[in-house]
Amino acid sequence: MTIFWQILDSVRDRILTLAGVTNVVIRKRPVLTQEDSIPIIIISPGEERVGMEAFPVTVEYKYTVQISIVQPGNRIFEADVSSLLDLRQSIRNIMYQPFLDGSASVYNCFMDMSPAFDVVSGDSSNYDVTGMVLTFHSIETRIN
Amino acid sequence: MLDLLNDWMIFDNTEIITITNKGASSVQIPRVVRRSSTLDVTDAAGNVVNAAGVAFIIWKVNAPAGFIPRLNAQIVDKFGKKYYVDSVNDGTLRSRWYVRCTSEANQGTN
Repeated sequence: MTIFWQILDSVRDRILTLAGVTNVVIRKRPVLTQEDSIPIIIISPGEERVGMEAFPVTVEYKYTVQISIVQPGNRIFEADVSSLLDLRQSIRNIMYQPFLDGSASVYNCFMDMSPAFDVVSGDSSNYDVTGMVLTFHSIETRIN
Repeated sequence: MLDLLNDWMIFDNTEIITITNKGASSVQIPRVVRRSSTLDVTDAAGNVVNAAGVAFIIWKVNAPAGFIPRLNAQIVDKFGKKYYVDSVNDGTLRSRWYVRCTSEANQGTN
């Protein structure tokens, strides 16, 4: 099993521990399909970059994971601001931790947050979309 | 000049819709014509979502006195599907509103 999959799986498991969160999926890309029920949280893999290297064969890989939170907006502009921010902060706090259960090689995590209520237009104007990109730092052995 | 404002027009497949402006009571309007709708997939904020763009033609003569559709109003069609108003066009001879809407999140079209 790849480290990347371990990370994705661990992220999903950890988010599922939040109260009231039930619909969390791992997908190749952050795609909402017609059959999906919302709200939904979509976890998708991003880049894999090389960080530090150490003699002789130790290497740090940086895995980016995108978490996308899709809620039904439906032109409600005031009533649910606080509750949606609560959910966003809960996910932030549970993910922005140095270690990740299930992924033993991960030793640190960086985070970039999207705007709390991203500006969506056109046919997506009835969705509230937000998210974050996590970068997990993993110490591994370089194949020699 | 010919005044055609109150002339009869014939349309098939009309429906009764319920429209609710923000902060106002619901209003039922009969004999509304639905234009063809499109189920869409749109890329927004890095996410792909689906929704249906729909238009309704509402004759002013069928609406309650003083009623005007507003942006973001909710429309419920005869199937119970919900839409939200994106734009209102004051149509031909100012006799009708051409109301463009987007379906409620993840409802798509009928």
